[in-house]
Amino acid sequence: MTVPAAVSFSGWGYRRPLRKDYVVKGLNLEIREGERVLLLGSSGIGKSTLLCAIAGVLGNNEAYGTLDSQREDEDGGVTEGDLLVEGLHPQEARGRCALMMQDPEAQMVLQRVGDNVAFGLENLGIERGEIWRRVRESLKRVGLGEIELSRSTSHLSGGQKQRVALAGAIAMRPSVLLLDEPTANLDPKGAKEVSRACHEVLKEDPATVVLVEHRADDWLDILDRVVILGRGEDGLARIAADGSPDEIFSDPSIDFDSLGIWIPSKFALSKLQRKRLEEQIRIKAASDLNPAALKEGESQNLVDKGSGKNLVAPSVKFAKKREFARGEVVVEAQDLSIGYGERSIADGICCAFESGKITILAGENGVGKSTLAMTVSGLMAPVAGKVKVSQDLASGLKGGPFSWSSRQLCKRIAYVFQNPEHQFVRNTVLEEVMVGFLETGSGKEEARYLASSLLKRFDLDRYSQANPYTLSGGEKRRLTVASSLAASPEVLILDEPTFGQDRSTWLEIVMLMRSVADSGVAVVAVTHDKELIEFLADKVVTIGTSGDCDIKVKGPEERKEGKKPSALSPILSKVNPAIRFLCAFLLSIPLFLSLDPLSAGVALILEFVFMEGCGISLKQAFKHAWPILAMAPWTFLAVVIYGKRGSITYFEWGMIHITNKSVYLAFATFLRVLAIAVPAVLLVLGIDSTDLADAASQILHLPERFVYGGLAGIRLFTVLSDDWLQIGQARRSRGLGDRKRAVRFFTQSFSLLILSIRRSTSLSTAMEARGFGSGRPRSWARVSRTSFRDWIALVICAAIPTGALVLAFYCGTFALGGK
Amino acid sequence: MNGLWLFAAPLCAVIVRKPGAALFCELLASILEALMGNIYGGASVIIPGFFEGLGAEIVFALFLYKVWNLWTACLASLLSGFFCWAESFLTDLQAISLSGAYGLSYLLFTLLSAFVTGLGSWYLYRAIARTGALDRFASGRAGRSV
Repeated sequence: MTVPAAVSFSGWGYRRPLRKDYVVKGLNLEIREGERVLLLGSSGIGKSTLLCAIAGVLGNNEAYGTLDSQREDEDGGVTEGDLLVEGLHPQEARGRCALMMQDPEAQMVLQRVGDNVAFGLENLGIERGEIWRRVRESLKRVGLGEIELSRSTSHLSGGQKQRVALAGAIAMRPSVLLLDEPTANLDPKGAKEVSRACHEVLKEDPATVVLVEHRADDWLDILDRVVILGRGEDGLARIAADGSPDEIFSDPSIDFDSLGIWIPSKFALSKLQRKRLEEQIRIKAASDLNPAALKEGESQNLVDKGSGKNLVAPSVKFAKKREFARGEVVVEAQDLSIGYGERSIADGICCAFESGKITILAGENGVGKSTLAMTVSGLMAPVAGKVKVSQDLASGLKGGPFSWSSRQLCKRIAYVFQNPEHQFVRNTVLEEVMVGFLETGSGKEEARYLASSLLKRFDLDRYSQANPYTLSGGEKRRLTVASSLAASPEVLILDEPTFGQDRSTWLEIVMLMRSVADSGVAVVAVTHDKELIEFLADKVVTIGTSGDCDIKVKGPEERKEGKKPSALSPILSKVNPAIRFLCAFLLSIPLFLSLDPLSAGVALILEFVFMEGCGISLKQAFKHAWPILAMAPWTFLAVVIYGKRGSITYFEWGMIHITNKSVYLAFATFLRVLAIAVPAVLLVLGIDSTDLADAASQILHLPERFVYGGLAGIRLFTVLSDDWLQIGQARRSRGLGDRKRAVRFFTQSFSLLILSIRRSTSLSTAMEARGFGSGRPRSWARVSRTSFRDWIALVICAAIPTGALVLAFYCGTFALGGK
Repeated sequence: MNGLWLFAAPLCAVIVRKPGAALFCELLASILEALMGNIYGGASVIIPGFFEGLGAEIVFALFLYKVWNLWTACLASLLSGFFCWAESFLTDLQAISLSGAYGLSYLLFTLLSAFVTGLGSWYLYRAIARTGALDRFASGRAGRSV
C-alpha cells in the first residue's frame, strides 16, 4: 500500500538554462506526510518548477550528493540548496512521486490506453500480472472502468486523456502525487470529470498531494493547506502566505489582486474582487487601442525625408472609409451547415455578429464551436448555406469569406488561434506585427513605425526585437491580438482567449477585448469561461447537443474500436513484427549479389507463391504494392539508356546509349526491383509501432531508451497532421496564404518543427516522471514472443533468394554486380 | 533532389550532439517511412537510411563529437550523400557504371544537394535555437544568452 512521504525544501533555488536570474531562491518549505497542499501564484512564478523538482525531472542527471552550493545539471539549469523527498534526493526517489501535467496530449506516451497506464509500472519493474491488475483497478478508480484497453488515445476527449494520465500516475502507488493544473486545458465538463476523479482517488489514497491550480473552487474540500508564492522586491519568488484555506482566503491583509490570484467564489471577498474588476475593465476600455484610430492620430508625424511625401496617406483614407455605425450586422450565417468536407455536424445555423459588440459562442469542447467560428471567418468551407457579409465589409468583393484571397481576408476578418504558436510567422515581435501593415499596403518604414506604436499600446515594445516564441503565455496572446489588429480587420474572432491564464493575464485580455469592441470592431469569442461571459458578453450564442441550445449540433458518433488488423493476412499477423522485418531483409539482401533476369524472376515467382501460402492473393499483392509497380518502369528506362555498354549499339545520343547489354540489364533490374520491394512492402504493411518496439526490445534486445524514446517520437508524428492544418489556416488568416506554394510549405514546416520539438520536450518530461530512464530494470507489460511459425518463415525467406541464386549459378546467368 | 532525405541526420546530430544521434535519427525516420505504408517501399527504405545515417555519424565521430559548426554539418551531409550515392549503385543501379558519365554526374548532383542540405540543416538549427525551443540542449544554449 502507499506510504505517504514528506517533502522538504531548505534554502532551495533554481535558475533556468540561459537565464541570469533565479526563478526561486532561498525557499524553505516543509510538506508533511499525507498533507494536501494547494500552491498558488501568478504565471511564470515557478510553481511548475517546484513540482518538476519534487518529481526529480528538473534537469537530467543532476549531480546530487555533492555539497557544492550551486550545481549545474545537464540541461544547463542551476540548482542550489537542498530538496529531500522522504530523506532521499528527488532523482533517487523518481517513481515514488507521480506528476500529472496540464497538456493532455504531452502525457500520452503510447498509442493504446492500457499501455499508457502500464508504462510507469513497467519502468518500476513490476511483474506482468500485477501490472494489468493495477491498470484495470486504476482506470476504474478514475471512472474509466468500461473503456477498452486497446482503444487509441487519439480518439479520447481531453477529459478522458487527463483521466488516463491520472490513472497512469496512481497506478504507480506514489508516495507524493503532484498535480500541475490538471484541468487547465479542459472545458467545464471535462474539468468536472477530472476533478471528480481526483476527489475519488484522494478520498482513499493516503499520498501526499501538491496541487497547482489557478481556480481553487472545485478543490477546497480536499485541501489542508494553501501556500501562495509571490514576488519579493528582488523579483524572486517567495512564500507570501501559508495556512489553511479558510485562514488564507478570509485574510483581508493579503492582496490577491496583485498576486494574480483568483479567490474561490465561496469566500465573500470575491464579490469585492468582482466589483473592482468591473471598474478596472470600464476604465481601461475607455483608452483606445484601435490601430485605425492610431493611423489617423499619428500619421502626420511620419513624412518621408527624401520626397517630403506623407507616407501614410493611403492607409488614412483606408481607415476613414471604414467607419460605420455600431450595432450594424457585419457577418451573418444564413441557413449555414458546418463540418468537414461533405459531412455536416450542424445544419440550418442562423446567427449574426454586430459591429462594436462582443458575441460569445459558448458550449462544450468538441461540439463544433471552433468549426462554426472558422467557417464564419473564411478559414473553412461551408458545407451548405452561406456566410453573408455586409456591404461595408465586402467593399466590392463578391461571395463569402471563404472565396476571398488570404490578403483580402486579413483586412476584414481576423482569427486568433487558441495556441498562439500556431500563428507566429516571423523572427521578431516587431516584424510579427509589421506583417499586418505590410499586407494591407503600407510601406516598410510606415509599417515599422505603426507596428512599434501598436506594440507600445500593447505594452510589448520592450520585446520588439525578441523572438515571439520566447514570450510568456500572456504576452504571446497579446502579441497575436496585436498582430491581427494590425491589418485593421472589422471582425475579430478569438478562440478560447483566456484558456489556462492566471488572473492578471485574464484581466489584460478581457480589457483588451472590450476596448477593441468599443472601437467599432465586431468581436466574437469562442469560450466556456463563465467569468468572461459574465463580464463581456453583449450577446451569447450557445452551441450544444441538447434542445435548449441556440444552435443544435448532432452528437459525435460513438466509436467502437476493435483491434486493427496488423497484417494483410491472418497468418502473417501471427508472425512477430521484428521477424517480419528480418524476413523482408533476408528475402531482399542476397538478391543484390547477382544482377540477372533468371535469379530475380525465379525469386519473384517464388515470393508470389509464398505470399499466396501466407494468405495474400495476387490481386491483394498488386493492390498494395502499386507504388513499386509504378516506379519500376522508370528504373528500367534509366538502365536502358544509361546502363553498361554491350557489343551492339542500337542508339546513341549524348550521354544516352541503348545497347544489347543495357537492355538485358534493364530487364534484370526491373525484375529485381520488384523481387526486392514487393515483399518488403507486403510483409511489413500494418505493423503497429508499439508491437514493433516491444519486439525490438524483447527479441532483438535493442536498448530500451532508444526503442521507447523512438516509439514516443513516432506517435507524436501521427498527431502532427492536425497542427499542420491549423498552421495553414492561421497563415491564411494572417494574409500570408496567397504566397507561392513552395514558400508556404517551407515556412509552415518550420513552425511545425518548432511545435514538435516543444511537444517532444514535454513528452520526455512526462516519460521521466513515470520513471523512464531511471536505470532500474524494466519489466514488460506486453510479451513479444517468437514461435515455431516465425522460424519457418525465416527459413523460407532465406531459402527463396538462395535457391534462385544457386539456380542462376548452374545455368550460367549468375553475374556478380551485373558484370 | 536526394538532399531532402538527408536532412534528418545532420540536423539531429547538431541539436542533440551525442554519439549515435545521427544514425539513430536517420534510422528512426526510415522506420517511420516503412510503417507509414507502401509509397516508400516498406522495409527496403531502412537500408539506405542506415547508410545515410552512418555517413553523417562517421564525420562527427572523426571530430570526436567536439566540433559542431557549419563545416562539420556540411561534411557530414556530404559523406551521407556519398554513401547514399554508393548505396544506390550497389543495389538498384548496379547495371549502371559507377565511373560512367551518368554515375559521375549523379554523384556530382547528389554531393551538390547534400552540401546545400548541410548548409540548410545548420541554418535551420540556428533558427530553431533562436526560438528558445532548444534551451534544454547544450546546442540551444551555445548560440544564445539571455
